[in-house]
Amino acid sequence: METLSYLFSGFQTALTFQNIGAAAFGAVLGIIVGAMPGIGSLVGVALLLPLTYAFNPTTAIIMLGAIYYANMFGGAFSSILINVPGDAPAIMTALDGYPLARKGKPGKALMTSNIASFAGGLLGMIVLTFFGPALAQFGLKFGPAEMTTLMLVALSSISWLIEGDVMKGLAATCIGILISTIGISTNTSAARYTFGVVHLLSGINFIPLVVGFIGMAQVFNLLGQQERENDLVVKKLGIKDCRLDKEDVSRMVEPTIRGGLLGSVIGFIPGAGATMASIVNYTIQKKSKRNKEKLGTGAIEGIAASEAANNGAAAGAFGPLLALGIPGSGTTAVLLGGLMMWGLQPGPRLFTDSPDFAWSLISSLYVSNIIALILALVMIPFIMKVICIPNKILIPTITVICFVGSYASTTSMWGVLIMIIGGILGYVFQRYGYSASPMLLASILSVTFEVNLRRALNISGGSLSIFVTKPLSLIFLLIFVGLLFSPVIKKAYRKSKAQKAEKSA
Amino acid sequence: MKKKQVALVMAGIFAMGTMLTRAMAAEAAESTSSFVPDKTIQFNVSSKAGGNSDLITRTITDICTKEDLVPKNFVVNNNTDGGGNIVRIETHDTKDPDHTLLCFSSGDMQSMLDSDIGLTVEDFAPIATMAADKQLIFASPDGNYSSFEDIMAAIEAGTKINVGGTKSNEKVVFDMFAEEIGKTDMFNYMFYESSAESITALMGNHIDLAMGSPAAAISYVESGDIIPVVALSDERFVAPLDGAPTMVELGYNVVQSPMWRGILAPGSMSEEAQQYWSDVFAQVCETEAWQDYLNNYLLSPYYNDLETTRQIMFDTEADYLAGKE
Repeated sequence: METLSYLFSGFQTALTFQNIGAAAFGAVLGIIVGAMPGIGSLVGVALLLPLTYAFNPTTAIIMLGAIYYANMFGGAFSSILINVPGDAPAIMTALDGYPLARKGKPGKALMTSNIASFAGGLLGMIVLTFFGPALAQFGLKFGPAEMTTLMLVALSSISWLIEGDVMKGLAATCIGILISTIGISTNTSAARYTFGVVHLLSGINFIPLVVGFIGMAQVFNLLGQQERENDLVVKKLGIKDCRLDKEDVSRMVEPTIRGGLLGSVIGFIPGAGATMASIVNYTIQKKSKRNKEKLGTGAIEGIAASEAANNGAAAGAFGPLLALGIPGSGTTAVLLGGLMMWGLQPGPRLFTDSPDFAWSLISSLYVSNIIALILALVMIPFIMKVICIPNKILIPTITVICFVGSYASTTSMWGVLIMIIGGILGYVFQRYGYSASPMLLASILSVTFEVNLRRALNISGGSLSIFVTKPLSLIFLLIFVGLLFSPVIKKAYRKSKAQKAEKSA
Repeated sequence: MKKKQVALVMAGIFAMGTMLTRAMAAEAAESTSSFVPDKTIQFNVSSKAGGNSDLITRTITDICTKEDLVPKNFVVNNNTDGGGNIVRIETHDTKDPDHTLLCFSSGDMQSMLDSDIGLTVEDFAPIATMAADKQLIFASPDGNYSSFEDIMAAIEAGTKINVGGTKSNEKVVFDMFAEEIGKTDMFNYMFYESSAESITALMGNHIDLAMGSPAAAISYVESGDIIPVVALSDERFVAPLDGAPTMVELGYNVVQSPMWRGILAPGSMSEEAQQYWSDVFAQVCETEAWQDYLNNYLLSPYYNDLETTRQIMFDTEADYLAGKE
């Protein structure tokens, strides 16, 4: 009850004319910046931070929150329409969003993405409001051992995403892991596979790699096709084409609710974040038996799973930030910088020292969630027409976006080079039936895996017992073992059942 | 003959012209009282947003903007890539040296010298030192050790102790500590990307001890999430960090390695711009907001002009390189 009264007083602050205006303005900018590939929420918030100087601290923070939050909505747009993920969390959205758009239903894909974002985010905010401090404490329990085994589970779930040839899928996964080892090792400071190139010291930047691997590779692919066969012949797209019918909505329910809750919990773990949340929820959805269509072919369930989870995590990431002063992601780290510029001391005492501020920030998240939804809904009928653009215009446009995006995310030509090499590799992958997503996901996950594995072994003095003596770690380890052996067990079970049936017969 | 004369006259005119333009250029430089930034200034930081280097940079740029000390805006560029080396190389190689600054501490210097990028402080233009700070060793209240005596008892019993901290100054001063108590092989020092990360690990009881500066740790000490165990300084810190005894109190020699925090510019920055920035930062240090910052983060004031700053930075570098050999 106390929480509610705090929340309402927060709403009173957030709902003044000036603050709603700031939130709306922030949401518009956030969606636009989020829709630009390569810029994404991290760079977006950093770029727009100076804009908030003109306001008083509370208004400024509300605006920052809106920018950050609306970014998550915008990120899906380019994923769905041109298959160029705006940022890492949107990779999973592209897997189903783009195929659905190519089927002539861009409106439906965008609508699903936005409603799932809204609902997932709302669930995340409710979790944040009522369990924020408690979950932040829970997040602290994730030390090196727990993170290692959690990553084992996540890495093995990549196998669910592999389509077609299993060996090729595993090869792609291994290439991803290899790419992640390039650069200075966090644990030992040793330079690995850098061949004296200073830029390689920092490893391969992920965003340019994604933009190249998916976006640029698609350009190469389009170039190889006949103009006419690929141009979508869509009649006129109207508002009607955006509507979701009853069946669509019922298909969204399961992935969205799970995504919102799971995402917000993952958001609370320092060092995990929105990308991890969308990967985990999508792979779980892929295993679900209730999918009406196969995931990866343009299923509504897939879009909803990815978007609900990453927005849930975006809300959850505020938990450790507000309750402990620990930024859960790169973007919240920039937000933290913004908070401190206003003389606020984020940290364990924020809720006790400046409750007004903390609660008005939380309530402004609710407000910006609604504003972002409305804005996105207004934009869809216009923006979905991008899908009808003929290839001769689309190809150069995507090319420019890839170049600008990879430059913007690294502010160096090095990023552009990574994008181009990534594009060529991505094209080769496509031609020979290797899927890109296992490779990209493996390269994200294995960085966290390696750093934590080495730290854990360092702590235990080289003994593997650390992974079984910690309860959380043991749970993840059991899940991992279960995942590994479940096909074998299932097979054995079926066999014995069949034998029994034979015997009784 | 004629040709020679013409050539001579021409040469004379050229010489006069060169001298004239030189003189005019010099006059112009003087009359406009040197340099004023006419573009956005890039301020490079090798720590994450929220890290110590980031905090000081944001404070400085904020004061410059609020007090109108600089006519243009700052863009703070956080980049931890390559152990902070990328941002140092970027600063060194910038095409706009007059509008590029780098937040630089003695810890950063050590990690730069340890890497193989081949840059030393001599490749840059030291602009100012701004503040100095020292470190403490922290433990968790619900962990195994809550005092120096606990740590020593555990070591005597043969237990290895896990310590988390950053690669830079924190590692150096912790090594000094371990050496002073004569137990260098009983500690397991783990690298974290930032003090925030190692303190988070300590709060979750994943490590036994964490290194940290007052700035990074104070709010967690106030809230009782971590406790200060040893002050690596010649005197105790002020409340709430005053619970930690110094090494002298514990019966050892003093162990400390004050870390200066300052600002470097690319080596190619013009003399005028160097003087300009040195003056600007002197003004920053005189503001109330700067005093508040120093008080909030328990830092000592440590502004020095161009000449002294060069001396300090070159001396620290020489000492460090001598120590390595």
